[in-house]
Amino acid sequence: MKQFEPKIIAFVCNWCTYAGADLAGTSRLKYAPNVRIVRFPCTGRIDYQLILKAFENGADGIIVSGCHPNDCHYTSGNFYARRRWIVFKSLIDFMGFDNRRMYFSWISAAEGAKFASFINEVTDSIRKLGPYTDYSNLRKIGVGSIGEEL
Amino acid sequence: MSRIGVFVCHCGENIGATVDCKKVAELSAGLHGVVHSVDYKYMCSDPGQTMIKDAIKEKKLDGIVVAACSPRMHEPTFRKAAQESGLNAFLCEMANLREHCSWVHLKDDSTTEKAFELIHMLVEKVKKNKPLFPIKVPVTKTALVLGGGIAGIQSALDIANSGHQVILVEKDPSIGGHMAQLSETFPTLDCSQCILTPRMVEVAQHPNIKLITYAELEAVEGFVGNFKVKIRQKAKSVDEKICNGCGDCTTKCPIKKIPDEFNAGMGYRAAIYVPFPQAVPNKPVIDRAHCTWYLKGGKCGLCEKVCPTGAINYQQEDEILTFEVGAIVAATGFDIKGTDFFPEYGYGKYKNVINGLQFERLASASGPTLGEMKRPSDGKTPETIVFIACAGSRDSAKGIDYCSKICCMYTAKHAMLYKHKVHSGKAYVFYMDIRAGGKNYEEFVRRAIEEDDVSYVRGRVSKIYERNGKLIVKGVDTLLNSMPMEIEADMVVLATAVVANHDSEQIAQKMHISYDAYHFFAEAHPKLKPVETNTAGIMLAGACQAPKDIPESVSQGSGAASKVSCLFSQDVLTREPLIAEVNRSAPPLYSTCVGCFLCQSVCPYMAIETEEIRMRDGSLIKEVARINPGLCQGCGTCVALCRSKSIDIHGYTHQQIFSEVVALFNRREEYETV
Amino acid sequence: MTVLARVSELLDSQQINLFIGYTQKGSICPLFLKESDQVDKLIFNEDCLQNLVPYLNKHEVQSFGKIGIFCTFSALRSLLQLKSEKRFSNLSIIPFLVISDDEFVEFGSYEEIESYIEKNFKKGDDNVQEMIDKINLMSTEEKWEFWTNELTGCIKCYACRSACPMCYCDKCSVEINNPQWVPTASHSQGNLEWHVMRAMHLAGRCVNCNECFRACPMDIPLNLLTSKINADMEVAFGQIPGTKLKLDYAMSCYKFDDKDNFIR
Repeated sequence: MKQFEPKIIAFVCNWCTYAGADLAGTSRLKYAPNVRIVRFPCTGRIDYQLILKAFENGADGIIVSGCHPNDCHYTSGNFYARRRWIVFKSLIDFMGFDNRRMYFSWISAAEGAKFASFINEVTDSIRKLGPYTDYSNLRKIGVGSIGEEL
Repeated sequence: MSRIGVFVCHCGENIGATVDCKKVAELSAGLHGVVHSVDYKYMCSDPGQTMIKDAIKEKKLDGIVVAACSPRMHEPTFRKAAQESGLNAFLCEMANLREHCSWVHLKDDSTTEKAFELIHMLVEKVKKNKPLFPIKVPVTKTALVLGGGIAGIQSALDIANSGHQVILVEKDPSIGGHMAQLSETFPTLDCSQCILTPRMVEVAQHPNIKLITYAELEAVEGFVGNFKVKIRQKAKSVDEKICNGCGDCTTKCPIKKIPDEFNAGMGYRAAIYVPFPQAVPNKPVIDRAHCTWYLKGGKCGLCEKVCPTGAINYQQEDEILTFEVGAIVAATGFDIKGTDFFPEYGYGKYKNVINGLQFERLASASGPTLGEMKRPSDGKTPETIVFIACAGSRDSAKGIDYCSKICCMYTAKHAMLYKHKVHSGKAYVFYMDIRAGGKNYEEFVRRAIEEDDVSYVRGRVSKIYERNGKLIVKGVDTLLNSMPMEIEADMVVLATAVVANHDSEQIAQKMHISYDAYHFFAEAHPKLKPVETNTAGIMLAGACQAPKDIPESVSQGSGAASKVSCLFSQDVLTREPLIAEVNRSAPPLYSTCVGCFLCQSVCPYMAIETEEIRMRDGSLIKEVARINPGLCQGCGTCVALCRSKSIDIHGYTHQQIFSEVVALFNRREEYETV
Repeated sequence: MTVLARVSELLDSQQINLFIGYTQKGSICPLFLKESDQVDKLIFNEDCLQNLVPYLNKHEVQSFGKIGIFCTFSALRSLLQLKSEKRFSNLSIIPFLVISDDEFVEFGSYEEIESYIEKNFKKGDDNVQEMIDKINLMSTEEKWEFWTNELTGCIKCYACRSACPMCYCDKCSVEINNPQWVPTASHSQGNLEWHVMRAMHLAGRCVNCNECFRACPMDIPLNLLTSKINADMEVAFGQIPGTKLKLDYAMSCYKFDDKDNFIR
């Protein structure tokens, strides 16, 4: 049987983690091809609803990553983002989301190696968890299941 | 209905060897809304760009995705190409197939699949892109040069000579930097100060340069062409305008035993001091950390008594100066590791183990020994001297993997200077490799070995310890069957690693520029933009970026100056319009913004203002947020904070990102059917 | 003077044009008084729990200009929070906190409300905390089970939104359809997303009035979500919504050392 390959989406900021991923490239570091990067100007721009959208559409894992504290190109976007993550995490933990599928990290433009090893680590652990269906299955539950739009 | 074009680049073998570009282009052609999809060897080449331009015209494309390298590399290239063929530049997106795919994955179906998915995401995004138009902003034609070493001096002079105003800020009481400390310079052995001081004087006298010494960067706000900088002028306690530089105060000051920074701790200075005789400006400052007046509550006051002009002002306070500048050159320089960094060489506790900068002062005619070769412990002339290159550098165990670049050359110079002064002496150099790439550099090292009879030993020194007043240097000679060696030396000079300044991280953070793992400032591109940073309008010069020798620092100083001059040659700059905006809608809402203004405090640029929407008769309908397009830098923090999603950011709109994310997962079946 | 006499006085002298209080019509419900003739219909007892402040967000109510209102303690907090969010700029409001028929506090300014809240601050409902503690002890799977079961019942009537003093947007983002953030069908996924969104919007703003729970026709304990995250935020950031007149919104400020042990 073919091994399960998770779909992982990474929401990253343009200045640090995106550049860190570029550095992993220029350094020819190898990592698992499961991750798809979506570029944002800053972690401050990352909307928690996008995390839900990704899970809703079948993501098995999500990475949110940006500049280390104090390194933000816009001075403080990552600090506001961090607060938002703290609160969002407290909420979804309370609601019983599978928190093993969500990763937050600081990866700077100089940390190509950290990016590569982080992706590998995340891919490995999510591969072990198997596909994430809890969230997408919710579509099948409820009074409105006749209203399945797609 | 969209008409999207997809252009898949092989980048020679860089993408083509790992990703099946042809297949990716074929698959992309099947995507909804894609009317044109091709692959080509080099999209960024002239024929490649022509191919894009022609397709835009012929197929009437209303959006393109170029699947090639990182957008951080070639996005401007392809956006320009789009613009030239009549497609708005912001209707061009790039899929990063090289850095994020082909270079990091193996040749495999999954890599090709990923490449296609990356394209698909951006096809969906570009469908939602809107034409955008650059924002025009004025340029303040004044530059800030941060750091008055040779790189900063060169930069300031070049900018000033091209007719623009320069503010040169130096943290020490005098400009000159490390170059002023050097004795002679390689490979010509001309005196460092003799070639530097005329430049320093030129800076002081230049009508276009405002020199601010003993001052530090406090904050930077704004953006290219329109920075607002705050400089902290540290209190000098001496009124520069009145002081005539007679020097009576420095000779009378009773506190004289303060290790002298200029002499790398090899000599002493007073609490009121001028760092060195040729200092610019040649006016003293009081070192408050050592001055009795400050330590013992107003006692002493001798300098005030002897000053003929009454220039001493103990009550002077730090002052924050604010300037508006259009560009910044960071030339904050470097530091070198002290001998205390090396446990194996005695943690800096042996007086006769010194570092390269200390040797420069010993060899300098203006140094504490007036250029005579005397060792620190007892002033005797060392008969045997050992130089150790790569002390800390290229040593991952020490956390410094890079080559400090200047040590091979200055070690050869040191050995030569020693031999020129102590003819009977014996000089050894322990080295790993000799890196003498540079004009006349290799010849210089050969001269040290062949003409001045310096013994070069290839090998590392494992330990130094003292025995009977001698330093025992234990090492190996790897060219002689790794034969252990033991040298009884009178003095040892460590060519310690060049490192970033201790506060370079904070300085980078104040300027919002990136820095590398060693806290050296990061250039925008290692090869093609070595002078610029990723923050538009901020350039780099000298060793704040990486270890550099004098000619390189000077070249980069000039390079940074020419970048600044280019910037200042325009009266108006255009800026990317990737900024946030509060929506407007039809009455009765006018905007979905309810005016809670919770977004106001998250804006790092204070760009969020109140706008009143009024009826024609002037009565107020509602107050909503408005984003000042001149101030907004486009971080988008307000966008994610707004509950009613009334704020959106051009280039990363809700619709664009949403489509991008959803595309990734909705395509599985599609891919299989194609 | 009794509170009713004081309300009559204010209405008669036109110091207020509208009074919002409670009355009993079978059950307790709100009463809007324009004149003093029906003041005796006003009641106040321990069953008068509804937060009446949400009415102040309605344009129809605001058109009265000068309004008196009965407030519970958490309603007072919601008034203060709303004021810090730049609400009521052209509204003069006289809130009353009633303790008994002749014991009441009439507030003349927002500063008075602020200092009253500071002096008399009380934690939220113990029952709510008990429920939260119970859920905290559950495993991730049990929590998921609990909430998906609860939220399956949601009929997306948005009573929670209407009843909430903090939901005053002109156009709620659940109604944005381009892009369609929250699925429109009332399957559990859409329900869950709506409630996650609602809770996130109330993070740092919820005053624990529990009005969302009381308004819910399906008896979903929505207040647990907002109460839980706001309790966590109080611990993490030290800010309590509805206690400061000056904007003190935890999501629009930060500390350098906010805990980030989950960030790698």
